[in-house]
Amino acid sequence: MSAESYLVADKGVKSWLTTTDHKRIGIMFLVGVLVALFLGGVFALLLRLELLTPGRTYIDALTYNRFFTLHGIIMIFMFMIPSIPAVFGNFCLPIMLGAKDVAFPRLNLGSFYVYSAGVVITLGGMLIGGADSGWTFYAPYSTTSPTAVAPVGFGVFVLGFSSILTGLNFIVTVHTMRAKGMSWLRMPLFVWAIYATSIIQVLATPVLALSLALIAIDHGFGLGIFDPRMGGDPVLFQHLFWFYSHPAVYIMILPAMGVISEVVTTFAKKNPLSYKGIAFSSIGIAFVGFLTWGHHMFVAGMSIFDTGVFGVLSMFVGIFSAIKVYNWVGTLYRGHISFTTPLLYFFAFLFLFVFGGMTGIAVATSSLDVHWTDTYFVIAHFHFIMVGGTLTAFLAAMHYWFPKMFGRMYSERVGLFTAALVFMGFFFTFFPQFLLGNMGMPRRYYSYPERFQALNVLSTGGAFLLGMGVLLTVGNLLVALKMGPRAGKNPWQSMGFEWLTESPPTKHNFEASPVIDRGPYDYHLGLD
Amino acid sequence: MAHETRASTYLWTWLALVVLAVATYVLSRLDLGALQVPIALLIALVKGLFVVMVFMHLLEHGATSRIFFGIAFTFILLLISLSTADVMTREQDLPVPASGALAPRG
Amino acid sequence: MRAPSAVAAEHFEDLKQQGHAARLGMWAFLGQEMLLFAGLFALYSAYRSMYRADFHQAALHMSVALGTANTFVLLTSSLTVALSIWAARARRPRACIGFLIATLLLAAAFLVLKFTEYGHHFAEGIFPGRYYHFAELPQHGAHIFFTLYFFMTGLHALHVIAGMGVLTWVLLHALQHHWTPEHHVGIELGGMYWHLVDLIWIFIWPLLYLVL
Repeated sequence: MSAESYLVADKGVKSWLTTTDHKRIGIMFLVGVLVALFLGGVFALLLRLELLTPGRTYIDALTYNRFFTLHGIIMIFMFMIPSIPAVFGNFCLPIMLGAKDVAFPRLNLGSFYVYSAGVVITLGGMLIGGADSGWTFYAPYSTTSPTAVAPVGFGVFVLGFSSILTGLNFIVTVHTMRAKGMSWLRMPLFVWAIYATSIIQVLATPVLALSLALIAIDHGFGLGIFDPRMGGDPVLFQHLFWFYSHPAVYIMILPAMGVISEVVTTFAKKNPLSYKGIAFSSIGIAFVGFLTWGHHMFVAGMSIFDTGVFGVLSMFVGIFSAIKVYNWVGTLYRGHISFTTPLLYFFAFLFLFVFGGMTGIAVATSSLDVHWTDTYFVIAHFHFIMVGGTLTAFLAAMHYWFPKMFGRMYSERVGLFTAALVFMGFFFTFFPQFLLGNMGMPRRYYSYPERFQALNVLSTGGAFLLGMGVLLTVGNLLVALKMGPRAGKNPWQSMGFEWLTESPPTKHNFEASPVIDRGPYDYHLGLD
Repeated sequence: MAHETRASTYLWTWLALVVLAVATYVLSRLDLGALQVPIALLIALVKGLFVVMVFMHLLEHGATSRIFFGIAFTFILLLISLSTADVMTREQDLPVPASGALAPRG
Repeated sequence: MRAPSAVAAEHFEDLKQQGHAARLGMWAFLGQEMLLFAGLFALYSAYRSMYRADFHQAALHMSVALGTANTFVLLTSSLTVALSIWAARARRPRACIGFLIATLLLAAAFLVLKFTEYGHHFAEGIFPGRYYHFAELPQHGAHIFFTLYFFMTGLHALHVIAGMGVLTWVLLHALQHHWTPEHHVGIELGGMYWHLVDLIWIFIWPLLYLVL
């Protein structure tokens, strides 16, 4: 190898902390999001422990409320939203475009430090009392709660800013830094997914920032703008909050879909069934995702007119997801399939995402949602997508790009085993919750009637299995970091552009700017 | 970048903005009924376009920036309209049926 | 302070690409700033339809004179900052400096007028949120109008201050004749941020001051 890999090109902690190399920034984000995943998971297990028995198990109600609030905040804002974009988007996007880095490398580093500051502030808020309003911060409870809503809310505000900066960077990079010959329709589908995600990050997050600022200032200084005693309307807070938080779920799933597109094409050694279908449906999701926020407010006191409008608009999003699912399955059909760990995660994703997505269409139907809203049915629905979809794709990406990022290969057998554990743990945790919700168990409740206990115990058991599965998955990769066999440039024999670089890549990715003369999935051309 | 703006263009734009501001003020003193707010906002929109297109050089900068700006503006309209529509279409004091499914128990 | 580099940064092909990226990035950033204020306009719109009469009454207590004066101050500051960019492109560094200073002075004037206005409100007992004690208009709608007024103009004023910071940085470079026809992306971006501040006020002024 003529030049050194990015991992060793500059030495010392300081070189990492002041790096502007997108690959190193991606690695630093990886450490951050894995810590967040672990912490959010701990809170999940703590609250599932409490739910083992109908009454008090080991903590009081206020503590329980804090646990589910912090679980939600940590998982969403510290893990899910940054995860795939800030780790794999950072690492792969410039290389996939044939660029040496993102458009604004110093801003990229800034994004990481803003993220870190947000984490510190939020965790600091946790230590001085946390929040018990749920991650949704609904007024007027959030503005009058005796907990530390203002610092926690401010921490999330800061985390949001990191998300905006990352999205802005990626948008400009895609527009201005594609290599020669790379037209929009030759970009890898992962790039399309990240691009669509970035649009949402830039345009939706400021509305969250405003909502949280209003809550934090209200909590601290009594602004009262959503306080009924002052003539305020709490539902208006929900409009502002969900205007961001619904598109936010597409921030969380679009990058996952991008990963899936890369994995399925590589391991079927085939062009996607319809490249344009997948590419344009990503943009479609980004836009239509902005039109649907009121479906979180069907029973909040919103007018029937708005309920109708949002109910109809919410149905349209399913169309784009369906286009993708058909495409992915059609890509596998008649492909040369290699059964590897990433592909196993793909199958898990397919099943869980479709299941979760269909229940999404179900709850978008307002006449049904009046029964399911604020029950465990909704919790199961979004965990199927968030965990069954996004976390599964994140783990797929960890395995798929592991050889590229670190130059080593992990153990396939252990990888397949831990993937199966994760899937089983997930299923036993969340499938019972559909049943519980349908039976009427409300969400965010500290205690419940006896008849719900059996399913709750099953769910808690599943949660511990899931936790163990994730730990073993990460453990397998950590072991491979030190002891895995060296991986070649392109161990999966993929046609993706990122596999043109060394494993791991050199500091500047390419010796000379590449000229692109083919599409990223032109398997019919044979390998060059 | 397209041809650069001349100093006189900036001056004329400023003048247009001042005239429009005066117009907004004058119109606000009249009683135009239901048209009052739409007219004021329309003038504000025109002023805004002058600032964005000329002062901020969006006319010079290219289609991508214009599209991006248009999308942002569309989403702003979306947020304002649907949240206002909610408030405006709520029914006050819904009649409660005397008996049947919705009647209070006991 | 170092002059902007004559060579593009390492990861860019050339200065043209770098400039194009910088402008696109600033438009994306301004888009998100607009969305930040959008929520407040949504609250204004929703609450106005809820409390039409109260909003009207409350707006009668706003100082049309101060609000309108500030409108002209900002419109003119947009002109002066645009002319400073023109001057840079026309290789007239002293005019560039002059126009930037004029812009900063107008910005300061805006803040003076604004804080004077706040002072008048405070004297009458008009404060945001739970500190409001304006006996003449105790009703909910008026209370909400003024709370919204303080939050919207307060957030706007924060952006004016931030904009002054940005323009000060631009001025420091201008004083060293760094802005030239070849390198003026920085002053352009600074100007764009300043125009946003004007743009937001263009919508705030009729809605809060002109008693519609």
